[in-house]
Amino acid sequence: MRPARPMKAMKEGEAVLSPVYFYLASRLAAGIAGGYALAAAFSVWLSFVLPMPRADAVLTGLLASFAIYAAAILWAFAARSLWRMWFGLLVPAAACAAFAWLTGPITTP
Amino acid sequence: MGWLHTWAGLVVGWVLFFMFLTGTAGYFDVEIDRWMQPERSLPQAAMPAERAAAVGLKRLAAAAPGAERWFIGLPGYRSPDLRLFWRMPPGPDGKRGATGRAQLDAATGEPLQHRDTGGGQLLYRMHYDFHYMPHKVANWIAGVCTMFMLIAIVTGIVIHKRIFADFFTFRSHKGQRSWLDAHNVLSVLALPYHLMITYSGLIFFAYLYMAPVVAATYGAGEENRRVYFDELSGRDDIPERAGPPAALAPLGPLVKDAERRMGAGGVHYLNIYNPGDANARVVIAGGELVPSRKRTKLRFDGTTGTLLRASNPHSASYVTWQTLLGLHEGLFAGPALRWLYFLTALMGTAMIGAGLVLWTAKRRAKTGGTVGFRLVEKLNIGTVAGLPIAVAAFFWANRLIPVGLEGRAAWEAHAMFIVWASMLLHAFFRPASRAWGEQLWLAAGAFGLLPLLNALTTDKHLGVTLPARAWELAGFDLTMFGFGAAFAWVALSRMRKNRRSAKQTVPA
Repeated sequence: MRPARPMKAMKEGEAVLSPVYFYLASRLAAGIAGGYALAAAFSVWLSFVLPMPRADAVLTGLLASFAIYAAAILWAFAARSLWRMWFGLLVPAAACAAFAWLTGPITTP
Repeated sequence: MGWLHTWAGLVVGWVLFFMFLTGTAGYFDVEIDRWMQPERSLPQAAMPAERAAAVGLKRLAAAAPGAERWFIGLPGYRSPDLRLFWRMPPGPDGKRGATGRAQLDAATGEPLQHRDTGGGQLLYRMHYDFHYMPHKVANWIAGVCTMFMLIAIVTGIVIHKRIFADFFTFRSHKGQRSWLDAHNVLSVLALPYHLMITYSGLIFFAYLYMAPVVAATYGAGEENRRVYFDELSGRDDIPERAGPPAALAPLGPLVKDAERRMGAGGVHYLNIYNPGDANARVVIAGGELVPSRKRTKLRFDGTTGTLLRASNPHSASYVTWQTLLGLHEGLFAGPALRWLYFLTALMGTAMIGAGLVLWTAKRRAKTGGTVGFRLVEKLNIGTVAGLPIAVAAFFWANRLIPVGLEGRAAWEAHAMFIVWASMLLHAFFRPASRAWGEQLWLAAGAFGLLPLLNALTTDKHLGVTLPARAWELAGFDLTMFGFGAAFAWVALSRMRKNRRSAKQTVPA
């Protein structure tokens, strides 16, 4: 993973309101909020489609969720541009949510 | 990624240091309990399982007739007491019934008599419940910090270019380079532990942090969450209360049967569901302690005493879940592995401490005077050196607060946090270098003198516990002395280093 260029450009003692800090804050917010949305949506989708009793499917979703979350946060800082970053977070999250909404929870208890 | 590593670690580093330190103590929670209850007699042989079960049953029948469930925890490895618990049936409003608990001396069956103390349990619970705040708030803060820890670990691995070489690299007396080496060695040596403890820490409260995932299937709210947990774990197949009363079968033969299958001392606990009802069930659990927390369970009909069919095997996801939690708790670990757990957890604590100090060592030359730098430096002193002093104060308070004082258990914890606050204040009012030295020496004294304080205030000191081979008590005193020596060593080498650099800078 290559760090995005503007981060490299940041220097010690730079003013807090400089564009670099704004840029980093936006990535941080995207990682925390967007990453959470992606992790939750993915885990819900997983818990809906796994062919196992629903309690086990939900548990599997929970077990995987933090790995997804961590990967999403890393992505928020590794993506080359803000546009790519948002695309990479929101498109999978929306896809998971849409699929989950279409299939609905599995019915076998 | 380097930027992310630095800041993810720094922002919550002090909270993580607190969580790691108190969590490390948790690996010896029972032993700390014992030390903090010096009125108790030296560990004695527990009564046989059969008799312990009978004693527990008698107390439960008197304390909680008509209960939904009685629990009898038998004395065994690292659980020296006979533990009782009960839950009454749900009320007409559908709310869960009231609960109660009792702890009995496993040698005599009498209630334990000792000073009021939070003990090792309070210290251990602080690593996710903190103190002075509702559990839910604390669990959320702990979760956010743990997520930062996970990010710090993963980015730490990404930015690390020479993981294997760092196993063997430590250059001492090189200032910033030494702190980096120390941080790396501590991180890399115990990396599997750090990853495991962090991820499993999140899994403990996953139902809370990822509540939408549970809610999507079960619906929102506590009630629905309980349905999920009942479906997941409630596999003892307990029938509803039948109504007509029926006498409980004698427990003796059942415990004997279970001991025959699980080995002497292998029975851990009994659950008696619907006692006094025709549909009573007795579930006896035990066997070897394993990382997956799995126990052999025998289900008996509670009125006839006949053995019922074994319950269903658990699913793969259930076993994965339980193994993650079991590895985190380490309850299965025997003495050698327990010490390894303790030492790796200490390394984790030290890794965070070294990382925090490294942040300042790296920036002192460039931005040493800024407000941010000084804030971090002071917080480092007051936490990395000050928090251990506060934990020592928790033990000092246990010996010094009068036994009869109202709310003394709460004051033990207050003492800990008052001392921590004092150390932070001290760090803010003293020059950094002085503050480090003073607090390190204070830590050395606070830990090193604990065995002496113990000898002056109780009759369970090393002079008694060593000849009696009461290792759970003697081990505490010796470990505290070891911590004292370690802090003294760090303080001494700091002094020597400062003297050397003073000589170098002053021209002859």
